[in-house]
Amino acid sequence: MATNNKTQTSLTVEQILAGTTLGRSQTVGHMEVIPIIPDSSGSVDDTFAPPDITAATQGYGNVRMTNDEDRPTIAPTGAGWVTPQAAQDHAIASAEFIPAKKTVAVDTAMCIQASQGGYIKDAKEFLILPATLRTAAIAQRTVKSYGKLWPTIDSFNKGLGVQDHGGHLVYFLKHFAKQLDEFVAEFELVPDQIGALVLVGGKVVGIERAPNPAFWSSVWTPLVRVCYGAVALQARKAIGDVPVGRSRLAVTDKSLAGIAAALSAVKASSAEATRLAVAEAKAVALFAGAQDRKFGDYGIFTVANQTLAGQIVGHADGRFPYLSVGVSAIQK
Amino acid sequence: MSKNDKALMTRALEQPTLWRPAGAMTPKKAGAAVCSFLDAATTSLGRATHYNSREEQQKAELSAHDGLFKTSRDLYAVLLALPGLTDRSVGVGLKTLLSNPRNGKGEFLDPLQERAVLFHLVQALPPQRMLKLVEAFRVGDEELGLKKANNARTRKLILRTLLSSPRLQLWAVKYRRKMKAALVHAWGERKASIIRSILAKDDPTHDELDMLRADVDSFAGDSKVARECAAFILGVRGKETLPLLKAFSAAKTDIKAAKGIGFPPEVLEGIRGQFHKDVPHAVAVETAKDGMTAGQKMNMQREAKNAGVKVDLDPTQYDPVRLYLYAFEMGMDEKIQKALAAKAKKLAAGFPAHYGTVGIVVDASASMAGDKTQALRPMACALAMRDMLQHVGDEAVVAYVGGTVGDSGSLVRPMGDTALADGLVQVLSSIPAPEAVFVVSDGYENCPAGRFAEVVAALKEIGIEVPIFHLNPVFASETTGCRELAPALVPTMPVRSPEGLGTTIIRGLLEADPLKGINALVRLALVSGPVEMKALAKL
Repeated sequence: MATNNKTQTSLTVEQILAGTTLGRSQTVGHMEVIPIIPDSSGSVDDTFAPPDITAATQGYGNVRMTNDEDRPTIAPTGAGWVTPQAAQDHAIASAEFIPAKKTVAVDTAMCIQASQGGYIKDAKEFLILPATLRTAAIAQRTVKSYGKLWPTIDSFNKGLGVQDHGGHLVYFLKHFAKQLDEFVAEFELVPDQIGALVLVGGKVVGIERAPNPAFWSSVWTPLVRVCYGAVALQARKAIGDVPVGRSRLAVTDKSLAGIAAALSAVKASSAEATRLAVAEAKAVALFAGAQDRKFGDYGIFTVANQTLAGQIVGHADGRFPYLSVGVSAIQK
Repeated sequence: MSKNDKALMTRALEQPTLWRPAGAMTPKKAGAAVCSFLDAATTSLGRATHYNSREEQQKAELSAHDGLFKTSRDLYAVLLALPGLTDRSVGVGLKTLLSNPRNGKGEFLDPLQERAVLFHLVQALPPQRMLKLVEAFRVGDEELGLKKANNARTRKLILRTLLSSPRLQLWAVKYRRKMKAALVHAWGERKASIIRSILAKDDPTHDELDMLRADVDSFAGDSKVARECAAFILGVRGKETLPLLKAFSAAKTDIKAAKGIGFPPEVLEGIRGQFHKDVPHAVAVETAKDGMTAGQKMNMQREAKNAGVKVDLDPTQYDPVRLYLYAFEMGMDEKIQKALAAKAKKLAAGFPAHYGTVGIVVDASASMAGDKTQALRPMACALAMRDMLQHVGDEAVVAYVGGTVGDSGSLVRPMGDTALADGLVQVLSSIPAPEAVFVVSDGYENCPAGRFAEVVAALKEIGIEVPIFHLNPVFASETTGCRELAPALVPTMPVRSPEGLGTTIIRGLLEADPLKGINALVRLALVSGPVEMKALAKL
């Protein structure tokens, strides 16, 4: 894929995940996470440092992000800063390249805390917007209007039964703080991990890939806690508390060897169900539009289809070191 | 249940009843309060974990303390003397008891016995933590989650603790500002000022001597030492005869005056920074290395190495969890491994059961790294438990879930997912089959969640009754206790170190019979507590 492509291009998830393989699935409640690790071709790109960004706002809708590292980094798609400061929480819609030791200003950022005034000073910890909100933000990524996400946040809060709704993401974060923290605790990184497929209710709701393990390690908590944690909460609201399609242990030979066999069998059947879901997801085509940002041989592209939306970073040599694509809406 | 477990339980349960619930309290409710308290008191450090914020941890912890205190003040006081409780928990307990007045005799402690318990508890704390607690009594401490406790009982306890300590001279030099604040708080500003002026005199009057006898000597172990140290702490100079106090002044002109007398190194470093800026740091380290505590020697290893000074570290001086934390930072060596092995054997000798073959499942998944404020502590605890448990059987089978095993084989770094059911089946399939299985895990399972419980249920259904114990080194605030792997099927017991496992095992008995389990804990606490409490154990 050329980095200066002006026309819409079709890509399968399999193409984007080239050079990777999948690890063992982790499942808790509705959510399943399948680690993505580099395959024997060693598909790791160390060009980019982890996004250890310092963010500040200079006027509503204007975010300045500083990268103090001696390598460039990528501010993740849908990164947001919710701070205890007397300041309006903000988020960015599109991923951004930030060169080493440089500051990048974004004037298409948005407020995610409707009636709070004040500017953010030096916020470090970031979240990544709930997947369905992020899709709405990406669709408006070029619009300069700091209040552009308020109606969507309001609907999102109402949909989850958050009493204090309105354009305040912080209401959702406070309401579900315990559950969101548990998502972080329950899913663990595996060696060399650079990404994950996220399934909720047996369906793929997110495909994430980072350039290298250190980058992944720093984006995983924001992704599982808020971006996909929100999807799991929305799914629970839509389909109930009982997880869909979870394989149970079925012991037919009443012995220890029988239990061991049943354990192997249930793992195999779960793996098969996961394999089918992944195969389906890998075959899915994503449509990439024109290049949003350029940085040397790298470019940021927005990708979407009927159910998924997000962004990828492509290199002129055909690699895709960064991918962050999530579900657009919750399906029953 | 094995013969050993039955014997252990029988021994513990057949003892006379020392404590019974009063009023509307039932043994079951009391048992639940004790379980919650033990979960908090043996694992919580009042800090963030991999999963919970500090605030969440503290709120849950204080609630567990409050629950037992309201169940029974005496039971609460006695159980604070159990071995294996965290220093932080002892501090919370002291504050709770001191800030709530006692009205006469309780269920089985009289006021003097409670005073003895309080004194025992405060003396058992490391000095810095003790002084921090004293400061918290004075002003409260948001970080510790403590409100102030400022009454005559507290003030007397402070004076008795400080002035009777055999380490008073060292504390006077090392913690003089905090000691001054504590003494001024205990005496009151006016009286402290009068005492200072009396101590500065060469010939005090009879009335003045009476005052010193009442306010200093009556709390002191050695009244001469106590008076001289109190004078030093309050700022009287030029009358020092005790070696550390003399060296404090002498080192300002000659830093080597502090050599060979156990002078605290951090104080000498302060003197060097102020009075001997031209003297290299390495000289101060070399001069004061004999005064380093075991903890300082461990903490100073990297600094001493950088300064080119050799500070000998004797690994036998440290508990196994600390040695593992050290090995994670500085690397494992043969000396540390030998010390760990010797400690494991010794601790296993005190374990209340012995097995033919024991199975051990060690959770070494990523979450066992813990939070950055207590990095790797859960894993260090799990490894120390593994070492000890390997010696409670003639043979041991160990299965690791996740983790990367280092070259030495003993150091395992946490990494990866948590498939505990696989580990359980693996150890149970060994030949000969284990007579008991210990699973050391933070209780977070994800391959998938709940599979461990399904396997345990299947084992029970087909009549495999090998006892399985879940030992959890992490307090989880969302459960106000330790997170369970298989509720109602496998007892989950909190554990912070192998030393506290006796408490942990008896805590497991609470589920079988709350009243007798509580009394077994009371007995263990009484024999671990002060002399005044030991007499109660003979009832």
